[in-house]
Amino acid sequence: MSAAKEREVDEITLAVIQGMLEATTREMTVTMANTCRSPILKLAHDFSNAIFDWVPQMVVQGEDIPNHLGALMYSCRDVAEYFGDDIRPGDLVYHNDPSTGNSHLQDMCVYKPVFFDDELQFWVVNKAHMTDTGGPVAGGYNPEAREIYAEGLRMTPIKIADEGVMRNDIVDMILANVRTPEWHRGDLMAQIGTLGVAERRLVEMIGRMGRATVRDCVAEILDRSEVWMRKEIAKLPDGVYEGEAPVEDDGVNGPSTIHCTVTITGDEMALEYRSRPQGESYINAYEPITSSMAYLGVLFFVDPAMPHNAGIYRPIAFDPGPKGSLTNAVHPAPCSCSTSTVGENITEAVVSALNKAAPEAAAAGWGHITALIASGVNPKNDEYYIYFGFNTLIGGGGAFTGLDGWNSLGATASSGSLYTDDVEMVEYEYPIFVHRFELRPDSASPGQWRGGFGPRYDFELIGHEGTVTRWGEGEFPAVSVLGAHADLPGRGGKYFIRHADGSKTEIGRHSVERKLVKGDVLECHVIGGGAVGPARRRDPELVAADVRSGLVSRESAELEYRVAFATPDGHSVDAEATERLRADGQDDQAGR
Amino acid sequence: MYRLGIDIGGTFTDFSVVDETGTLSIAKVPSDRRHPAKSIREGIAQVAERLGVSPPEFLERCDEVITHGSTVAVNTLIQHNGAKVGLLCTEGFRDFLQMRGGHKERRYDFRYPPPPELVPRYLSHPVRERVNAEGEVLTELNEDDVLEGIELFKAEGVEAVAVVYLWSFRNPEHERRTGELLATHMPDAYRSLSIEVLPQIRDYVRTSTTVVNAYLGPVVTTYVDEVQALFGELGFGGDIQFMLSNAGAVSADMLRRLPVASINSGPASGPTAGTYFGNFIGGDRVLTVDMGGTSFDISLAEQGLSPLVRNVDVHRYRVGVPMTDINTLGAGGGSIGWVDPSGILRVGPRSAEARPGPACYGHGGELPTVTDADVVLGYIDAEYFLGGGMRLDVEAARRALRTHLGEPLGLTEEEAAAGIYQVVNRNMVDGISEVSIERGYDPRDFVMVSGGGAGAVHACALADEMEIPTVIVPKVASALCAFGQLVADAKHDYARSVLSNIELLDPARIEELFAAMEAEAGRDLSLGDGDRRNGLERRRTAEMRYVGQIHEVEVEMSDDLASGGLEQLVAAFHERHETLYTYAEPDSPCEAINVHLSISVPRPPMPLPEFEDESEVPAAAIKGTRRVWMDGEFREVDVVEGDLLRPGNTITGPAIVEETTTTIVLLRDWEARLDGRGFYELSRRK
Repeated sequence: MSAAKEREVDEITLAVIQGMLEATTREMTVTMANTCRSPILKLAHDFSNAIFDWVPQMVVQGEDIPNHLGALMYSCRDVAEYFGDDIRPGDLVYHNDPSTGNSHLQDMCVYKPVFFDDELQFWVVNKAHMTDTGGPVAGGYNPEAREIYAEGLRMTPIKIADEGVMRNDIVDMILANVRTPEWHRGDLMAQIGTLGVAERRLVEMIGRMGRATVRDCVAEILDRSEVWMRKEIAKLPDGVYEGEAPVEDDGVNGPSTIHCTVTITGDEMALEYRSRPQGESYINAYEPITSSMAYLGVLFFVDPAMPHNAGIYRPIAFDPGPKGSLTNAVHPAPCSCSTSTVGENITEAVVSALNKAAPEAAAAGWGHITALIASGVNPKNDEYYIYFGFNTLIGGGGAFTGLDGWNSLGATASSGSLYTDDVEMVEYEYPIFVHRFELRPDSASPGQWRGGFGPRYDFELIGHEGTVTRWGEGEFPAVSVLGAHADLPGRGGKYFIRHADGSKTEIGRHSVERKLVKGDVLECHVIGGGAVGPARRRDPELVAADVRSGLVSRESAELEYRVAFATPDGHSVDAEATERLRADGQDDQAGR
Repeated sequence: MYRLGIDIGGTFTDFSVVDETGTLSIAKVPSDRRHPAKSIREGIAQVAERLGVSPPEFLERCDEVITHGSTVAVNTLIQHNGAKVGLLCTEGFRDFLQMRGGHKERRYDFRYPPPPELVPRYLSHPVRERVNAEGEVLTELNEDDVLEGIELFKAEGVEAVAVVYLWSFRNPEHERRTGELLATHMPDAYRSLSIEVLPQIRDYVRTSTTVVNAYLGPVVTTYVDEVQALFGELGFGGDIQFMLSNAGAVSADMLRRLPVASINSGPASGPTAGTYFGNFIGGDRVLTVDMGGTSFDISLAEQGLSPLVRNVDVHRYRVGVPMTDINTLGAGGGSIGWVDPSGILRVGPRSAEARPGPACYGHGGELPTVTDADVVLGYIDAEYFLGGGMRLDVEAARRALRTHLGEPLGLTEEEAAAGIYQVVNRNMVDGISEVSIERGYDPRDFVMVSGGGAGAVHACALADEMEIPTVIVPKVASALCAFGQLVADAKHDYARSVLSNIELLDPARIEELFAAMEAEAGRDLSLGDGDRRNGLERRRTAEMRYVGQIHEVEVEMSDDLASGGLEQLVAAFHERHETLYTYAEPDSPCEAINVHLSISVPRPPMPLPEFEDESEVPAAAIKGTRRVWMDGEFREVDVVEGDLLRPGNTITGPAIVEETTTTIVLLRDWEARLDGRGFYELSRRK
């Protein structure tokens, strides 16, 4: 527990200040969403905002994208340390280096110190996933990178404004290094605007409430959040729980497993990761992203209303594993894919351990992100285009005890912040024709609580030849838990080029710029979500409803769910026959 | 002659009447959720009694038009008791509703379930057909698939059918033909075609809007029939107009066809009322706030126009038809004060609703609400609630505050009440910032119009926080929306997708689209050829963006596109983009996505009473003093009876002004002048 309170905090003032801080982050989010330019920020909402105090401790993080949860704490600390006293009102710091606290190079952060009466009071931060990083592969996801140098421009903390004066020389140098300078400039301006809005609000708040009062209230908020987290941890039974998550072949190092040991002692929790040595492939995770993804898994098991600030992490001891391992990579490991692979696996490892502590609140794995990026020259206007296929990556959500997974939601790491592409808008904006976009039957893992369904998305480049790149894993079925397992194949993601003659060529993981010819259709069988509990315990009526919906096949219903039907259409259940089927053999506990 | 406006809210049904001398009266009766028409009968009896006539006499003397807003549509959506809906969709694209555009509202609430489906997947019936982006037919409509769907729907007892095909707004033929087949083979089913509901690009929004329309269709149709029958029974032979979410009044027939457009019709006329009052003091920028039992509605209007939103989630279902942009907060009189698990005082969004209501209502409510706090702070007189029509239980309010806030936080009852008051005010201020500062408006440039019975308890405090110099409190504040309906114009909004780079835009094609929308308006608003056409107001806008952007910006469009209008449009777009987003890119190509036409038939002006200003406050108006919490302490302040004040009278704060259905808490730096046109003008003293 924290030291006995010495400060005197008025309850009502505290409530008002907490409200002001939350409103400030909401306003940051709205400003960023309204002003950013690139599709990744607009559609994937791949950005986040936070306010830090003078220490800097994180005071509040906006409800933006979950996979930025903890990493900002590392980077803000490192940036503040880097400049020490050399920080003044009107300064802006730019940064994307994983060795000094960032996640991967695509995430570029802007930091602004907020002063009041010449004294540092707050830091405000915006992190945003930029469209390009200037490496050899557009977009920065380079499956062939063997070192971070092949992933783009690496920026240690650097001032892009000095006491209110923009360093255009630096900004121009950065823009000269990326493929989409106009988007980049627009997004950077949006980031700066967002921090300006926050600064204005915070200065106004301090002016109104007084510096000492604000400081006391901020400290109090962090302490009380810590107490809340301790209460939540204390609800979990003491013990040592082992968890693990499989990692698919990254193209260089073969498959492996990430382990996480969770130790719960009273109101404290320790997380300890172990993984293979880092490798020459783009899936390595530096400590900040490992912490983000680990905390995300912990948050599955606590009150979702809890504020997101440094206080809630105090009772958690975090060990990313030995330096130089997959989950604690060090320079010069490449890491551009780490926010999805192995980030998602890192979350699953801690969740798999906590599932043992709290099976009544167990969580399955979500469909891992793997995406197609198509590019070519539009025959209508002879312009080069890049189509980032959001509809190729939105897999099914994982189930929880008591709740089926959401359909086509994307990964845990985004948890609903990732939007799909509107089919009509795609056909209007790109030389693309969409053949099909709907949920894929039998893609969800079967279980008492089944996963969400992933989509099937088929599209064709109209009248021209282009290329397609695929990054990320997502071929193993999503992780199912507590006895849920699949007998039938097809839950994992599969991607094909379907040729005009009907034959198919598979697009494997980590494929770079495969050539397409006219008439080729890209066929995306997007991954479904993982399940919780044995399928033969699922309410047969729910199975029948899924059969009737056309989302679960008769074969799956009978073989995996062990439901017998009274009518040939599979709409009504034969309860007695179902019971007999289900009594035959035992629950298979082989699933994780 | 009388003009009558009726607003059926979740808690109360409000009536607002004006006679030919400009005298306003209002009535309030509790809403009957099951039979809303019943409350109408009751309210009309009450209004008539107040005016000293019988209900038939009253209705006989009513203007030919009665305007009516209701929460029937939105309640149907909230309670999930709409029609059984079948959907006919393009084969291969069956799940836009289930996929929800990939959107989950609460990112950190991992166990947050999706909303109930409005169409189960087995009733989403795929039809072989396909039109491309250019509107060319690639696959002809397979009528057998349609007929198969109809057979399925009939067998399943489907009551309403939605039809949404890809690119139908570019080539409506397949949907139109499907509609014919439905009319022939399933004549009793409610039909909702996307080409009629929302003929514009974006598959998910169009599908969802069309399905919601079908879901609401049968319920709203029944309701409209009931209301018409009721008025027929009461002997009213005139026209009944219904409010839509864009604050326009339309015919019963129009509402039957487009119930999805009425989802937010209740609060939509708030800004209409706000603008009406703002005009009296030359405020062409008006911020209207309306504090009800469960919510606090905030909206802006500039020169009489309120911004519209066209793509929002309403109770978790996406709706694309235009709605007045109203920011609704869970900060009403019934909003509950509570302590979160980290020990911080919070207010709302949970509400005690009408039942059990605030603790002081004595209906068994035990949790402390904003109203309880207002009573304990002395703002609301427990003996004079609703003009003495309802006695409040102060001890129950104190007990609730003590048990649920005072004890856990170590505060006295009064401190807890003051805490609720300050925190809810804070929430309101943040909500006002969201619609003003965050959208590029400075609230200090606005006149605030405060509605709701308890709105003016909080108004001065909010205005102080936002540095708003002037607040208007209408005498009809507690029935603001019903009043807004008296002054609402007959109006409707139309949209078409354009999808063209501005450089390639063909003005003649755009004019064709506008002509088609105008023809629709002629039918919808019964414009005929005569007088109604003369006073028409038209507003043309375009949704534009830079090529490659994802969101559009709406800008005004001139009537004369061919000569210079296009250049003006582009210039207006760059300017608007700069205002909203701090930058413009004059050299970048831009494109138009949709065009909109808003057509309205203005209402005849409201009659105004004649009056002369008097400066002397009648002695009888000063009722006495009361102990109220102001400036951080309790003090005795004057209590003034509003009904006894004369036009021109000025009351100086600190004071409480009590009207029958509303209370004004006048803080120390404020004064209130009663205007003979039916409102108080509150200003901060210099």
